[in-house]
Amino acid sequence: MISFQIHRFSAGAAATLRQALGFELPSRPNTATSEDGVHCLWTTPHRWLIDCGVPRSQLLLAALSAPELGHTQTSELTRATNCSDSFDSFQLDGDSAVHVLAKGCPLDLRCQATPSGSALRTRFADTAVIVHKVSARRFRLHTDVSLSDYLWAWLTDACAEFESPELPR
Amino acid sequence: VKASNPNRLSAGGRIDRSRPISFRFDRRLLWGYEGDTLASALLANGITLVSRSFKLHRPRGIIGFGAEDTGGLVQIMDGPRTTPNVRATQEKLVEGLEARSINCWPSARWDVYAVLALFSRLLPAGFYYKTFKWPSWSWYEPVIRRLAGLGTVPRVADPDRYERGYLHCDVLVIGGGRSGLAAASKAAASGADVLLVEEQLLFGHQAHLESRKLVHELRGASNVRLFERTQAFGYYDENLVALFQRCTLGQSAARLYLVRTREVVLATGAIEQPLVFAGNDRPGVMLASAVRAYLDHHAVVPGRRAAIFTNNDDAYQTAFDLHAAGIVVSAIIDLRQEVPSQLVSRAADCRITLYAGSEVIDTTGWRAVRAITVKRTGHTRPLKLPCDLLCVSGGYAPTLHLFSQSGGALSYDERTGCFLPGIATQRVRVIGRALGICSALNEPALPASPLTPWVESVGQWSQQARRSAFVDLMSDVAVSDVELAAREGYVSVEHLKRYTTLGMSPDQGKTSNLNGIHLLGAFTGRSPRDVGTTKFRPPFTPVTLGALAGRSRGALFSKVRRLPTHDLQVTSGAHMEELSGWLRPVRYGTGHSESNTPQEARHVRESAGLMDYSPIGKIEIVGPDSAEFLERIYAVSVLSLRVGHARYGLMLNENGVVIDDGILVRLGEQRFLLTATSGHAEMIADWLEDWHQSAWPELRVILTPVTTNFGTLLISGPQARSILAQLPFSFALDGASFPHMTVREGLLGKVPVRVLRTSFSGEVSFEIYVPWRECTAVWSQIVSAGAAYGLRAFGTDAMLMLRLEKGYVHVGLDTDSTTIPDDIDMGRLHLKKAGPFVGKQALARPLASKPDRLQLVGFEPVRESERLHEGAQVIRRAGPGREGSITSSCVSPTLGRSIALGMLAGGRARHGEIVEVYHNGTRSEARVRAPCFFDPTGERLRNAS
Repeated sequence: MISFQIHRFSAGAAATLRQALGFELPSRPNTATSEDGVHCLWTTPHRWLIDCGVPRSQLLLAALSAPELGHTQTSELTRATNCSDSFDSFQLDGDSAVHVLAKGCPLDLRCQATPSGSALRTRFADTAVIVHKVSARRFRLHTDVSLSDYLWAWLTDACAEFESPELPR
Repeated sequence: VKASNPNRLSAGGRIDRSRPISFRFDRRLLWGYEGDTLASALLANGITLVSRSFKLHRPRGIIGFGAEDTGGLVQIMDGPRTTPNVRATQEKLVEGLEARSINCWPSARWDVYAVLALFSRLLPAGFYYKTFKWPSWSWYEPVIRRLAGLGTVPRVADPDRYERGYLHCDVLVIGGGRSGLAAASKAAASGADVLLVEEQLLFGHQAHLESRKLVHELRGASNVRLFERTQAFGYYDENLVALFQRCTLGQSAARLYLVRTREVVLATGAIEQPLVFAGNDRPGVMLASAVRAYLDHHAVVPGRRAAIFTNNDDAYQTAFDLHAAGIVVSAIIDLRQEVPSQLVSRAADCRITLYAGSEVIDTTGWRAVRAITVKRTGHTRPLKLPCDLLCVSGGYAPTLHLFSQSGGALSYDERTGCFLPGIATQRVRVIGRALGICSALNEPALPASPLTPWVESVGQWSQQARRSAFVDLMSDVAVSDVELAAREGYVSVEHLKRYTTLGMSPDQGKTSNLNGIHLLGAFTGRSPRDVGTTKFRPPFTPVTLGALAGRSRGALFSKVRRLPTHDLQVTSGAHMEELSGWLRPVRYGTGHSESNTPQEARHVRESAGLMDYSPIGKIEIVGPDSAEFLERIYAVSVLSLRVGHARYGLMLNENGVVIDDGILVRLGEQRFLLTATSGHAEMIADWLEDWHQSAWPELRVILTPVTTNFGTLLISGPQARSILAQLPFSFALDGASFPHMTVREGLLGKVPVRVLRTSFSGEVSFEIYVPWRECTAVWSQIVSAGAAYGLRAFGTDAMLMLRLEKGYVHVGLDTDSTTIPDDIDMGRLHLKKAGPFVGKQALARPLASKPDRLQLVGFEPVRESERLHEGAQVIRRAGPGREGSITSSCVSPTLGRSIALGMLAGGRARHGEIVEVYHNGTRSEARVRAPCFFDPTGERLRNAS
């Protein structure tokens, strides 16, 4: 997981990230783009979050240049931070995923309101999370590492009833 | 069936006679059928006395069919699942169900407290306020508390599971009657996502073929959800509606949904209003529509000989239905002089005597109605008629509780004599009978006639009649109480409600409001329009606490953050407690280990202690303007801070008030790390971002909160350096090359680390920042290196003692929302600073330099045996009032005596003075002194090599 921050929006700064990623950045707020298991999430006007595995994140960090030094590559001030340690991610797959999430999230995550490719910073089970709707049946939830034990317990408990055939709609 | 249902007809109803169900009421074994509610089953068994009223403990029986019933409140007994105040009308009958009557002892039939009814003359509205004020309410409270309250609260944890969640739809239709079904069907046809909720077991209340067809269609539609046994109980802003669903399937007992919808359709129907007359609270007096519904749904007739008392046409249908079912209907008493001729002839066909222009003026019977007294027009002598079921109808009032909760206005309608929906403030539509219209020919008009003529006659009633004619049956509010309230000046309808409790608690105005409003109008010479109606509040019917809590119990009660070394801490015997959202070790050791804390603190002074300090807030700031940005934020100089050095700093708000403190570290020319108190970490990060974005967007900086990117392990004590020297750090740790308040970046083996020399304990300390997921390994590494030096883990309690000995301020504990830097003796830090910073201007205000400001001082008790307590007040010796308080206190582990910090008016100039301290009724004396109790010159930090 990498956080890529810019001081203010500029084509040059965005190009740096696009070049490193090899695919287009999300153009609208609260959306994400994906390719080959790498997801780029718009989180604020000044920050993208790149959701990818550890090997890829090492490469990306290198491409975005020595992040620990806050080095600048373009004339614009940018900063890539390795935040793999501070995030834990959960993936929910299945037809009931949307119903499990509805127990803790006040946002309407059904397809009409939240199309696939949405990335929403919101409140879930009383915690701050980023909900990334990859597809109608797949959600990725990114949360602070210090809360992940709590959230895991919350999610497994919330899923319990969906193991039985009497599914509430 | 082993036991008979004396009040059950042999045929009809929507019950399954092949599936009998046994249940218990007040320990008696009874039988009902699949399809029954508890109420219908009780009535089928001839149980008319179900509970006792709240104040006078008068006998109460079921009067209604749904949410409007208040006479059938029971306690559902199921061991730990016991639920108080359940409406029998809303409880589905299931095998083995056990219910008890409430508000009575030992039973509803034989209730000791029924003796209260004998004193009803002494217990009018407001008697509480008048009677129990001398000598003090606390004298009476224990007795009254025992008498008050409906039902009993379970004593053990609820074993049931409750779910809570959010739902979204385009159209939420509340009420599954004919109008609701039609509206849902229409909305569904337009492609909208529809949610239809109904409080009863079944949709299509009146059991029409047409309704059943609609229900079938809706069940098949993919864009429609139907929730049965679901009560919409609250309507909030932005079309948020709260639903309470009683579950029959799945693992949970009930569900609570918060529904956000584009549009709400209220098809909540209308509630039949009772008539008010002497003796109208006797069990056996029921709403005419409810009697009809029990007959229709459950083939139950709760009586052998019925009479009807009405002011409208609708109740005639009850008479005809009862007649058709073979029940004797002895009379119809109609308040109206003129009765439609077709009803007159139909009554004649059924051989039912009709008394037009007449009224019921009393009922007799002990625990249930045995006879009624009728005053006939043109006759002076009242007529006594035997009957055991009196069906009353005062017409229908639209159910507009939810509409009112949504913010909609209710306006009085002269024609119908009730309140109708006025201007809506949200996207809500009211349809069907809730709007005061009838949707089908055979549905009753609304209400059939205004109540005014009846109300006018109340003035002629006897005192006795007024006292025994009840408006709110469960709260025992009689006509005389409304009259008393009016006489005593409670002429506002909201005051009437609070003074008399009319329409409160179980009823929520469903059957009492309209009559109450008409009566108050009559007693104050106003029309109901001028009296107005109360604003309805959620919940419409009670919601069990379990559903409100949902799954937020036990381990999921509230979110809690965990340290990176959490598992290690637990296995090493830490006593974990939640501190500002984090689960942290407050001390170590098993059992009652509070006594370990001073030992832990002493150990840090003598040897070394280790702590997972990760919750400390961390924010990185990079960019060419980062020094300038921080210079404007901090009350200390930042530009002069050299690379590799750290500085203690205060953050102020615009009022100059200290909001947080922390260490500011300059990692490079354009790179800073700042720390914040653990509880403020997120707030400070947002606050900095706010200043950057809104005040100085031109400054080229990037802020990155990194609190959980890095864990922090803190090692403190005279042996700390020797212990760390055992570890493979890539830089030197000796005092000369790594002095106090400096930082080093490098490696520990292969792990990237930052080490900061700072101290909150007064001992040589190192804060070691390592990637979060490396913390456990590094912790173990330090522990093994420290074994030879006696290194031990220490908890937050010990840390707080150590800092108190040093007199270090704890922002938020010692300070409050008025504290400025000078109050904690840090004024000189910013006085030298020339440039602007947040809060600077406020510090120039005259108030900021008043000599009697509260200032941080140390306190010690004059008598050594005494303790100074946190929260104790320093009181003025001359004149009233306080002049300070004790904010932190402990028995110093190092000094072995009570020490404290606190704020004292003009305190810095009063060192040496003896002040008087008050705490929980005792006074003691304390000596004011400098805040630092231990090593005031800081030699232990400087001299350590």
